[in-house]
Amino acid sequence: MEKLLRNKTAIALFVLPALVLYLAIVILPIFVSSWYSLLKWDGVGKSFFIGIENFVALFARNTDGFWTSVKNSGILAGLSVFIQLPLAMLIALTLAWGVRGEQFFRKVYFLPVVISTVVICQLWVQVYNLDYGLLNGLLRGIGLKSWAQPWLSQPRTALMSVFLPIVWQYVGYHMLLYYTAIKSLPDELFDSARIDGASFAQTSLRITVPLIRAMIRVSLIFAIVGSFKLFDHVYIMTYGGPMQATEVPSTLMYKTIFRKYAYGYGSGMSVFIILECFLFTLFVQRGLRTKEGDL
Amino acid sequence: MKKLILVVLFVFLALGIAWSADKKVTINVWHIWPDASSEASYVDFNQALTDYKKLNPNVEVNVDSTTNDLYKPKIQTALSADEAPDVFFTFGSAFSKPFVDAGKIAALDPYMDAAYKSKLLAGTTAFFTYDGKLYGLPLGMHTAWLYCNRDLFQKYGLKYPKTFDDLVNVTKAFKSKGVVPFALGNKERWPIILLYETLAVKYAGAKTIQQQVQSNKLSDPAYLKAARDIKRLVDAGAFRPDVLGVSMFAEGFQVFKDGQVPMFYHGSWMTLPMEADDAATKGKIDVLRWPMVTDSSAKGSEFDTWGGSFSCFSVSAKSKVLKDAVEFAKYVTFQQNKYAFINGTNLPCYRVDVTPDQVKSDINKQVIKLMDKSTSFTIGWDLMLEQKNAQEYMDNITKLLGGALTPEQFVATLPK
Repeated sequence: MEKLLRNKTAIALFVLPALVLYLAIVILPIFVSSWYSLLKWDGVGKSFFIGIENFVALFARNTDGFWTSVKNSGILAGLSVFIQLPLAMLIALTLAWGVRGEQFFRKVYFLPVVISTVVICQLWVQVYNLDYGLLNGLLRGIGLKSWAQPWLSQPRTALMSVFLPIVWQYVGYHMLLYYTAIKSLPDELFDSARIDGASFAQTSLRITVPLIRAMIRVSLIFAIVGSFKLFDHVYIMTYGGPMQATEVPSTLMYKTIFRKYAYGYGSGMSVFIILECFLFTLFVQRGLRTKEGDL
Repeated sequence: MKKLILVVLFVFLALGIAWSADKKVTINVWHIWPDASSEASYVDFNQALTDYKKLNPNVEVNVDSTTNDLYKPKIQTALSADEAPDVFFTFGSAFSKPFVDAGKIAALDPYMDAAYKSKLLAGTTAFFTYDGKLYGLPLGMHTAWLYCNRDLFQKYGLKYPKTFDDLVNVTKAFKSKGVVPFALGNKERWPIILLYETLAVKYAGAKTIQQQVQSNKLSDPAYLKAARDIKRLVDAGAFRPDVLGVSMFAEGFQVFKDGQVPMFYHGSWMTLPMEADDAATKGKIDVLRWPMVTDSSAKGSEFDTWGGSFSCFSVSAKSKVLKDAVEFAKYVTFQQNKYAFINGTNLPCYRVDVTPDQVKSDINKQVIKLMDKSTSFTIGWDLMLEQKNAQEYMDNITKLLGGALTPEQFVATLPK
């Protein structure tokens, strides 16, 4: 077994299938999309090479709300980083500290992650319904009748209403990442902290969190990149509406390509999203560099 | 030895199955009517399909259906990727043009014998004819009318509107009694265009509108006047507060069917559910023309009708069973037109052997009388405009409905 793992040929051979798949499904389409972004093409007929004109139209003379959609995805990234992650961290710290029903709660918090996004979104659409939705029913029931409103149909409440289920769904995912990282820390640390009389807050903030920096970095990247790429929830709950209030770059790109037949221009949007995600990943990697290098 | 015999027998069995499988023809069909609750054509199609199956027991027909706004990108994507089914529902005019140009849709002229052609009513294939060739078989004449719930009007002591100003007043009257006046759900972005386009035609006349929209150059005072009228309706409280997020095919229509909302201005493709046994509106609907606007320079009249023959069955040019698919389309389309007429879905595009007294639908009986006086038919602009302009048009008119654009700003977004 040792010999096999050391054998370079063996390593290459075992990695090859996954590598080929990865190149074909992830890397190749990026290059193909980049090529398409230099064309004027409707996806069906002839294509015309127009160089960077799509990008000029996207950046300089934009009329389809692309920058609003980028701002929306930025808002989601902000909510993810400043609400979702701290919440996940708090739950992970509490569970790892040792509470009654630790196993049970760990599973319960993770459950929304594994439920189909479509199911969750359809559920929330019903919850938000003006006439018979759970949320408005609750508000009317506790005497806050004036707060009952068409959450998903009003531009000013639609964005936050769409983001709530997203933040809710993935708290468990990040929680599990942190929980795993905390559990992999040596017990002696916590024992000695307890002996020294450190409280839960002190241990968590001074010892635990700094030590799981690497995992926090990973979780930050997932949260930010995931927010920039978001599609499913918006598409299902509002289709980018009402009046583009909940539009995000990927839904706009989808509409541009598949409804407006502007394949080249839409590909330009996708190149922007790719670069945006790549840049932020680099940014987070550099910003939270651990002294020992990468984990 | 035993093993060898088994293997040989198995091989023969497999070959036999493969060989006999070739003998059966399979036709894949896609359409836009997943169930009968909001799509009348569901019933008509299935009746036509039953007839076809009786005459062609050797043919296997696989049917797949998706609801309206999910169907549009689905068929467009499938056609682009050469994965379209043999026979499929599609819209004519600019919607299918890119695919016709790219050779994805089969021209039907070689299969149109004189007898079949003579059954088609004049003008019904205009939107499926590109460069003089026929690419689709018309599924019916869909027209839009103002469906009114007689009981609700009587309950609140209101008379049917004769002019547009009357309509606005009736709207205000219903609203003051806490009743949502119009059944509308604009999540799909296009339901509001029926109202807007009807108004525009009243001001500018059908000819001008059709010519301008088809050439993607919209410039006429009518567009602003119609936009202002939409705003008048919105300000009068015509629509439900969550209209922007509600689907027309679900609650938008449901509240009319349940007898909670008095007026519904929409196309005839939803008539059957309105007269179903479980509908509160069964037998209570009066069909009206959209009332004329008060404008001395208006070129249209109350007899200009929204609608036309804009939906069809087409055949994929890449179909492996082309001839069978075309024959299927020809037969089923004709039968469906017949049943649609009887059931009340729409008026036929063929000379169907149905006498008016065979028409079961009360609504359709009224529609036949109204259509007799119609002087023009204008189909939805979302189908006549170039697709990119159509998408932006629907986005912007939704913003007009929602108050994010003023009528002036909206008109500025129209393609010129």
